[in-house]
Amino acid sequence: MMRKRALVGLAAVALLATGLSKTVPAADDVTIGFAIALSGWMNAYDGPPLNGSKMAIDEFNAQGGILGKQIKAVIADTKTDVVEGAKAGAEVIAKGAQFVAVSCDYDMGAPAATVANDNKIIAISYCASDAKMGVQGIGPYVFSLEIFGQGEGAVGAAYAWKRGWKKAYAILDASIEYDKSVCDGFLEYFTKLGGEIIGADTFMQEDASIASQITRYKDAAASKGEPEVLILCSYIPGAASAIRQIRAAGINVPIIGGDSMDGDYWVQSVPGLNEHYAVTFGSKWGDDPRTEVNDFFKRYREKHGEPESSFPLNGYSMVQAIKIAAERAGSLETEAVLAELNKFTAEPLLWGATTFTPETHIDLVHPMTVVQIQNGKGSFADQITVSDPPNLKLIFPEFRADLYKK
Amino acid sequence: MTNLLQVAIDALALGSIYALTALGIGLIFGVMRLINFAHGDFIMIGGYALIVPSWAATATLFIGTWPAPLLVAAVSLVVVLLALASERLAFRPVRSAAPSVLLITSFALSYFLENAVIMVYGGRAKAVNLWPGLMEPILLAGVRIPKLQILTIAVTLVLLVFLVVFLKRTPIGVAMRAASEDFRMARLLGVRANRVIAVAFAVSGVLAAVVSLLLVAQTGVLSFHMGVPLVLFAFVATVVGGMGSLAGAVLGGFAVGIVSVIFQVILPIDWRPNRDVWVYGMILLVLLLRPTGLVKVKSIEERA
Repeated sequence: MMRKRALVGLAAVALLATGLSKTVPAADDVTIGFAIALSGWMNAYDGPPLNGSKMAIDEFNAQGGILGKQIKAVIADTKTDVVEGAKAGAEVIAKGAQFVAVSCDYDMGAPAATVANDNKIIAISYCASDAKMGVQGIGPYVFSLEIFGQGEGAVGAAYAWKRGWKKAYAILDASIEYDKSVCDGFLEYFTKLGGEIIGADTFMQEDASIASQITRYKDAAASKGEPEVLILCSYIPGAASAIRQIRAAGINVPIIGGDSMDGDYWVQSVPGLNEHYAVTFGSKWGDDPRTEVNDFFKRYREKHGEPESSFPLNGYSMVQAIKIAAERAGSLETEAVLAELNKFTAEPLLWGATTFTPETHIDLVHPMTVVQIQNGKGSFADQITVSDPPNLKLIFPEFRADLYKK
Repeated sequence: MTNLLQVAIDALALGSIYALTALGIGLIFGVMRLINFAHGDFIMIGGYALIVPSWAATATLFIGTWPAPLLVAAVSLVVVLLALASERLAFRPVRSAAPSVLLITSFALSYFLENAVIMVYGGRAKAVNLWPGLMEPILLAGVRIPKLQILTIAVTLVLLVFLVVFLKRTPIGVAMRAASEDFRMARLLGVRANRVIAVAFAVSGVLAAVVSLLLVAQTGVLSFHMGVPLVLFAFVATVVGGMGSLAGAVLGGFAVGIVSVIFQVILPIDWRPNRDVWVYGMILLVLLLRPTGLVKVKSIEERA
C-alpha cells in the first residue's frame, strides 16, 4: 500500500529530526520501536502485521531473544497522520529503539522512517510497495518487506498468462500511486508475454458509481470480443464496490488485483463472488504450500482470532530479519546489522525469500502467492516468482511508459 | 444509440444521488444560512445503522436484514434523530453567530461523527450486502439497466414531488419558505424559529437516510469517509444551482452528475484520472457567466 502526498510531513520531520538527541540503548535488552497506526484508517493495515511482530517477539524471547538479549517493544501511535508519524518516530527513538518498524504505506510510513534514517537507525516498513521507502528515497537505513508495486502487477500478468488468458482489460483506480504501479507492471509484463490489452479505463476510489466504466467495458467487449481477464488495480473499499457493480452487470471474467485485495473480509459486498484473484504474500486459509505459513496462521488464530489478510506474515518477518542480521553480525550496532541486511540473498523469511542489496531495499524478485475467491470462499491458487521483473525505470513514475494508450 | 440511452441513465442516476444530497444541504442553508458539511456524515451514519456495532472485520447486518419498509423507516428514524440532536446540541447554540462560525461548527461535527464511528466500528471499511436483488439488470429498449438505477431516479422524482407539496401546501412548509425568504420578518409574523429549523433538519435527515440506502445498495461498502465526497459534490451543486434555491439545488445536483458522467465518457484515457478538474472547470465557467448560480434568489442578492 502506498499513498502520495507527504511533503508537509517531511518538512515537519526535518524540523523534529534535527532537534532529536541520541539515546544510548540499555545494554541488557534489544529495543524495537513500532511507530505505526494504532488509530485512524491506517490501523486496519498496520494492526494485523503488528500482531505478527508481537508474536515473533514472544516466540524469539522464549528461545533466548536476539544474541541472548530479550526483545522489548516500544510502541507509539502515528494516528494515521504524517505529522504525528514523525512524532511517533521521534518518540520510540527517544525511548531507546534500536530498530524501528513503520507503517505499511509509503506516505504514512515515510515520516517515522525519515526520523529513523536521520538518526542512523534502521527502519523497516511492513509493506510499503514504493521503492522510495529505501535507498533511492528516504535513505540507506530504510527497508520495506514488500515486492515493488510493479512486480506485484507482473506476477498477476504471469498468472493470467499461465491460465491461458490472452486478452485483458484494465480498470485503474487512479487515486493512489500504488494502484498505478500495479497496473503498470501488469500491462508491461502482459504485453511482453504476448498478451493483448483490448481496453483500459480509470475510476476514482470514492466514485459513487462506476456505471460509465461498465458501459465502456461492454462497448469494448462488443466490438473487440469479451476479454479473458480483467486487471482491477484498486483497494478496499472502492475495489469491493467496483467488483459488486461489475459482477452485477453480468461481467463474469476473472478479476486480478494486488495485495490490497487480499483476504475475504470484503467479500460480503459481492454475493457469491467467483473468479477473483489477488497477488499477495501467502494464503491465510491453511492451504499454503509452505507449512511454516500454515503453522503461523494457526498460532495467530489462537492468539488474535481470524486474520483479515496474510499481512501478519510481514510483521513477523520484520522481527525475524533483525534477528537474523544481528546474529550474523554478532552485534546490535547499526552499521554491522545494516551490512548483514544488505547481504540478504533469497533469505528464507516467513513471508518468503528476501533479497536486499546496498542499492535495493525492497524485493525485486519475490515468490508471491496468488489467492482466489470462489463461491465467496478464499483459498490458495498458485505461487509465482517473476524472475525477470519489469523495467526498473518503471519504479519511478517520471519514467512511466505510455502503457494505457490502447 | 443504445449506448446513448445507457449513458443517459448512468448520468441521471448519479445526478439523482447528488440532487438528493444537494437538497438536504439546500434546505438547511435556506432556513439558517448554514452550509452543513456534516450532512455527508448523516449519510454515513445511515449506512452504519444497518449493522451491529463492532470492531470485527466482517460486518453483521441487523437492521439491514429487516423487511424493506421497516428498514427504511428505522434508518430514517436514526438519521432524523441524529439530525435533530445535531441541531439542538451543536447548531442552536451558535445560531446567531457569524456564518463562518456555523461553517466551522459543521466541520467540527463532521470530524466528531467520523471519529466516533472509527471508535465504535473501527477504521476498516465494512462490506455489506444490502438488497442484492436491486443490482440485477432489466432489459429496457435493448439495454441492460440495473434495477437500482431506475429505483434511484424514481425515488428522487417521488421525493421531489412530496417536497414540493410539503413546502407549498402544508402550514409548516409555507413557514419554512417564508423563513428562507426573510427569517426575521417571518419570525415577526409569528413563525416559530425553533420549530421551522427543527423540521428542516428532520427533512434533511430523511433525505440523507434515503441517499445512504441507495448508496450502500450500489457500493456494498461502509466507510467512515463515504459521505465526504458526496457532500463536496452536493455543496458545489447548490452553489451552481444558486445558493438558497431548492429548485437550484436539484438542478445543480443533476447538472454536476450529468457533467461528471459526460466527461468520464468523452475524455481520452490519459485525461480521465483528472476528470474532476474538468467538472470543476466547467462549474467555474458557469459561475463566471452566472455568479449567482443557475437560479437567482432574491433574498440572497439583497444581502450581498
